[in-house]
Amino acid sequence: MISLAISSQKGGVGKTTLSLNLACSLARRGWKVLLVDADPQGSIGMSLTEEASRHPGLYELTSQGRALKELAFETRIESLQILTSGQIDPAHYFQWYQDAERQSTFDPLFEQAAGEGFSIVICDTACGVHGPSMGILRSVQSVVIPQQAEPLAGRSLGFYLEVLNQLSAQGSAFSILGVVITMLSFDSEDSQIMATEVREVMPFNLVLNTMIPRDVLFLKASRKGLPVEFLYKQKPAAAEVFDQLAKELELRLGLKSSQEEEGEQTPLLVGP
Amino acid sequence: MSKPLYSLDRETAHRLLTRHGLARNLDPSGSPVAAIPEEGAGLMPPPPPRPLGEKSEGEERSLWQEKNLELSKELEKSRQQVAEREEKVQVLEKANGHLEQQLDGLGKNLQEAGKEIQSLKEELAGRRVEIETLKRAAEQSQKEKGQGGKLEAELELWKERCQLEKKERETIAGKLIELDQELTATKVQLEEAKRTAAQAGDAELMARLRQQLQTGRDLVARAGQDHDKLLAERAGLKKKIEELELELFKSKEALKQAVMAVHQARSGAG
Repeated sequence: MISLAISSQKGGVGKTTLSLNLACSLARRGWKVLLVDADPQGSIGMSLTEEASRHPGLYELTSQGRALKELAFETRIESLQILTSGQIDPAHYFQWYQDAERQSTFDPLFEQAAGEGFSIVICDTACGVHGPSMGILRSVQSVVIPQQAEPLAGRSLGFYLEVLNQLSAQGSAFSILGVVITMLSFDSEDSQIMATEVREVMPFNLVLNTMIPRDVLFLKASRKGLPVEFLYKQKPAAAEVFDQLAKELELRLGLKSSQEEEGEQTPLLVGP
Repeated sequence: MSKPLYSLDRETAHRLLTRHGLARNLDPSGSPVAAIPEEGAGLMPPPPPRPLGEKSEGEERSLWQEKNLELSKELEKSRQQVAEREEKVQVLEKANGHLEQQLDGLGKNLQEAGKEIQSLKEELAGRRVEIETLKRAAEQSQKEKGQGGKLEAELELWKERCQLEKKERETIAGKLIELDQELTATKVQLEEAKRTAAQAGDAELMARLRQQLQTGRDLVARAGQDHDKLLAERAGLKKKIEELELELFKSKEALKQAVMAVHQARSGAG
């Protein structure tokens, strides 16, 4: 099983959009995916339905010993399940927040996910490295960093790498799988300069080729509580970028999707 | 225009990503060509799931990190101790530097005093010659008996010279007393520095200080020897001056007699 955190120092860079749509794409490509909302604000749950935002989830699993099987939502995509952040008890919030910095808090989550046969666990985290975001980073194997293609976001990248270094120095075993440029605006020179600068500064193969554009469809999908691919009957082009990203990440993870397997390759035309 | 990523540059990014293995899929040489992924090759094979109950790599690194942290703390403590000792050494070195300067000054003074004494000796030798000349002149005048006025004038000149000589002798004696006092003060300061070092209680520091004190002692001993030598020279000179005074007295007596003889001769003639 592969565990993956979507994490960044800055908020509002598209972590939840990336997590949700990437999870859908990977599930569509044949992997059994568990999407975990490790943001105490409950971003994933809130971005879907009101019911999801009120459902027990990660908090109940980690603090009350509830089973993943009974907490995870099934979705329209058969191989995708979602574990929301849960209903955090305000009276125990600070204690849980502190406990959640430890790797051991999330051991039951990953053990049960492996037991349930999930191939990939994607964790959407809150910005920064503290509380459950820290615990998740200490538990996962890989981290994907969304890097917003806007000037302000770029300035926090150096600091964030320093922080991740500290965490790594303390014994965390994760590695950075890649940096994804998000919210790239093709109309803005500043946005493109930032994307170019990130590519120039970061080592060659660390920045993923796929870039997530700034698109009104994401806002629309967010308002409707849907992954982009479910907005219209026909999958919109904006959703394709996540398929492309999923394919790129599969390569990095050494996975081979069933979609990549060779088919029968019989002729297209079967007769008049 | 400021850099879009502020202080983050290629080198920093590479260092951050490789220091603790944050980016394991990077080519160690940093060469982008070597790092191009091959289709299907997989840049980072996922690590196998950790068996329950077994220490993870992370936990082992955490233990190692704790040990590392303890060592860092000890190192920091040692650094502080070293810094404190360095500070003490600097204070003592400063004090010793001051003493050495004083000793240097003392040495120079002694040297100058030696020169002055030498020049005085030369002057005294010159005067001795003059006395001899005067003696000869007195004898001559006694013989010539008509030249008493000239001898009187020479006698006055001699008196003035004797007074000058006395003053100079007093000056030398005063300088020697000053040197004595300086030597005593230096010895007191050295003792004080020794006590300070003993209070610092640092063996290494004491060893260094002992060496410096020994140097100081040697200088003092040398100064003492010079002092003794000067005293001996002074005694010698005093003796010579006494001898000269005796000779002078004799010469004066001879002159008096000569003058008397001249007067008698004049009155006899009158």
